Amino acid sequence: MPDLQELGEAIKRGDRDQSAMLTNAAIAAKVPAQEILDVMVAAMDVVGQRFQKNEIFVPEMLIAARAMKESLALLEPLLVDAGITPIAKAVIGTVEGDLHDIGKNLVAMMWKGANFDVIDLGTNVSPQKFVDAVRDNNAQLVGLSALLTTTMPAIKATVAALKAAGLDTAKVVIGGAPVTQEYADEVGADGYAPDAASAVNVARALL
Amino acid sequence: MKPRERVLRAIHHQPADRVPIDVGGTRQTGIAASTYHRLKQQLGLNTPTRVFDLYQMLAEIEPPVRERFGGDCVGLYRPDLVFGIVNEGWKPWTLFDGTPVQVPGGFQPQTEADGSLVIVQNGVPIARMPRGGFYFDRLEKFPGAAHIDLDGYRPPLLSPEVCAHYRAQSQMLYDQTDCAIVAPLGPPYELFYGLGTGDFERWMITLACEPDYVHRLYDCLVTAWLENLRRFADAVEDRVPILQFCDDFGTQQSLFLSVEMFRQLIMPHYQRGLDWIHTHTDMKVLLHSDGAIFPLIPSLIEMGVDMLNPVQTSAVGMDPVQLKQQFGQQLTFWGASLDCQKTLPYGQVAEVVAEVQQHLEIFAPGGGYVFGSVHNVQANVPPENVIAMYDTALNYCLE
Repeated sequence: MPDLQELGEAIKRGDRDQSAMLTNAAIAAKVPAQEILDVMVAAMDVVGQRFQKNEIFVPEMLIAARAMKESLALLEPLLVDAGITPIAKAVIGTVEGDLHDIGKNLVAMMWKGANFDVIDLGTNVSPQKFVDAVRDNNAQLVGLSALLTTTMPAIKATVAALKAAGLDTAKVVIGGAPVTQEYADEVGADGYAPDAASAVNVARALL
Repeated sequence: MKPRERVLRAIHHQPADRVPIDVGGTRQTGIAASTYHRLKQQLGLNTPTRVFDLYQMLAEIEPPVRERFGGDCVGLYRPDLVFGIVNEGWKPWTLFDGTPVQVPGGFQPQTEADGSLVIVQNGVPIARMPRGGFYFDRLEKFPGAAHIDLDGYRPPLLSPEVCAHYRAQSQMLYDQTDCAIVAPLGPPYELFYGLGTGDFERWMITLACEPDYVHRLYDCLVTAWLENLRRFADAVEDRVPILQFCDDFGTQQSLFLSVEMFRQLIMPHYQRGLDWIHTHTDMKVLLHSDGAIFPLIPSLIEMGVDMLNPVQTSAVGMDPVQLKQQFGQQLTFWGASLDCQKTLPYGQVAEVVAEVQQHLEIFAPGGGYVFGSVHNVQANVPPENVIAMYDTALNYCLE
């Protein structure tokens, strides 16, 4: 019997070789795909909690997310065969006028680690591009990021565009250096996440 | 008291006639060109506004503006400050928000189909400003992000021409202003944050997984930095009291990296440079690092940092009282004026005055404080708030 607990530990430490090896071993031993996936997602939850408690930082979180991503790719065909789909479809991007993407990328990784299907639109994304992507993909979740006080108004414009397009059912989570809970309330966003780990919790609570 | 003496006394924790003020003495305490232009209109100044920092679109602070707000510092920069474009041959330009400015003649960006401006160097796009944007962002991959091959890698050194410029410019600033000269001269690339430009995630993974590679890269960069410091110190002699280097170690929520990783990987290399500065010159070292970096400050002091900017008191754990109490004896705080993401752009004048006054009362006593904006004053800030910010500091009386 492959050691699923050790798979979780390998992901937490960001040991990509070990996590891939243990994922393959679990697959070979015919462990149900859902069981393997649950272990991986639980491991990433611990990574998120450690990040929030300042026990680990960006480099450690990134190597854990990389190990998760690679193991998930190995598992992908089995998930498809078993009819297991991601828990939500999410569209994410940095708003128009803003080219910063470090925070946005971290959120995208953590969302993927929580088994969301993430469509990353990149940076400098216009409100219309968000509207199109949410509609075309039937997304239930939207992530909007801005680093600058000068580009933060584009969050408001994007939220307004989504509402105007009748896409109110998609939950909008916003974040970025100048963004606050008060601002989220003001512009009508559904949630605010101060960091990448809490973006997972906020999204789960909204879905 | 002359500005230069005022700054030096503050840095040495000695009494001065008032708190020294930095108005654009660094590229992190400057003013965005469009705000600067509107500020000058309020002050009745009709001179052209020059964009001296094309990357951040910062205004060149003119002496009447600096003097109006009691600015005590002035920056000493390379002639080709950013993107290899020399600040000369000024020509008219209009910013996306309609502000009329002047830019260096060598600034010739291409306009893409979506209206973005792109700076192309030797046929390669190196920076882009989206239409309606306020900054350029770099498109290049710096050595850490590119994971360069270190065999035969030679970081850039200061040329004799640049050193001659430093010599002449420092003499000019010393003779023609009474201000304390601040010169940025860190390693050829910021060892932590800057090296990741272009692919930050890849660089973070390298830091986590390849310590030997990282140490070799740092050795190479710091060896070049030491040579540059020698050349610089020879050029400016004793005219520059403050040497600045930049690196961002914090997000607004926490450190980017653990204290342990900082101490093992990064600190020994910065310390090589700072030890050289303190051993061979009288210059004091000013570090610019944004974010929630409270837990790192003891290591920064141990490493040889004398002054810390911008002191982002709105970041998690950056409590002004705790900062002053715990580190005020060993460190000079540089910036720390108010919350420049909320109060300065969106607050009322009275709120700006109150917050600045409160911070002055915490940071000013006993010296060790240079007042300045917390990072550059952005493009959306009302001029009356900028005036209130500086005037509150200027009128603040030391006990």
